[in-house]
Amino acid sequence: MKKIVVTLAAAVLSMVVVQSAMAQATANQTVTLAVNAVYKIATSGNPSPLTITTGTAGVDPLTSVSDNSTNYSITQNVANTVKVTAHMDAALSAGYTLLLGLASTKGTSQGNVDISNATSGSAVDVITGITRGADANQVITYTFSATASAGTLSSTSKTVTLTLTN
Amino acid sequence: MKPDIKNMTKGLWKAAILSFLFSARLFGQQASTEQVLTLQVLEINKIGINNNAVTLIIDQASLENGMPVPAVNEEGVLVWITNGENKKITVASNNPSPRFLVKLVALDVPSSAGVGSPEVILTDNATKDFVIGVSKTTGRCKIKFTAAAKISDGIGSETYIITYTITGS
Repeated sequence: MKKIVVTLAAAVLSMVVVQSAMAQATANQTVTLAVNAVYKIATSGNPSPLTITTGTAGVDPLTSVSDNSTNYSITQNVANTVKVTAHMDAALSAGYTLLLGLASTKGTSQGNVDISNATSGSAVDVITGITRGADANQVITYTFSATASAGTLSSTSKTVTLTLTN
Repeated sequence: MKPDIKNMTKGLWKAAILSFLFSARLFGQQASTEQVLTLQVLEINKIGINNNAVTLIIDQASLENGMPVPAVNEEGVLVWITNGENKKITVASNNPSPRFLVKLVALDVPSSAGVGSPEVILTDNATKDFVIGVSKTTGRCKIKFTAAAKISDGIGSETYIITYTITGS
């Protein structure tokens, strides 16, 4: 009889231990993820001075000069219809022309775009249809031309603003 | 049932407002960068001629007065460009004491390109005005050469180097 009692006691103790071993606890966390709209554009610096120094006798347009020493990079996650526009702080006088060309692998370059009269209220598209992602170190080309009848131009600074926008 | 419809309506309104705000935020965002350009156009003066060698041969004489008939050549065309102001084109011969009489004049000078001077006689090697009133323009004109000789000049040949210069007036 004593043996049976001991056996039963052992069995009960074993069940208690097993039950204790199977006990568990959980805790929940709510993680909120968000990716905000990201628009980034940067240039590598300023181009060299664009100075027209020569022309051809009998031909009104002087010999134009170009600079492609700078580049730009963009990153955006907003849409596949993003574009880059350009404008200057002030328009050029008649007879002077400034073309801007931006190479692109993520969008459609509009080629060499005339920005001579593009100011903040009339920015012009230079790249359209930019898809989400990044485009790094793409070449910026400026071409400056003038006519003889426009006369000389003393050294003048112009600020060109490139805007990544949707 | 009524509270459910009310809740659904509220939910739709909230969704619409959030959607609008989200779109406005997207469309309103942009990024810009700037570059500073330095532009300059120097003063440029260029002049050229299409006919570098002109030969004038006096080989006839007038039956009326016995004088040699002047030789004329209008084949030369002078072209120029300047983006400067108050310029003129001058002409000079390298011959200080020419044996024959050589004259030249600019023909068909466009009014926008300058004003042709009266016929220039190259009696020496002095510089003379050929086209005046040249400012911020391109131009072209024909050059009419006239060579004349007297009987007493005899026969022979003479070479002149004619120099055209666009310069400040």
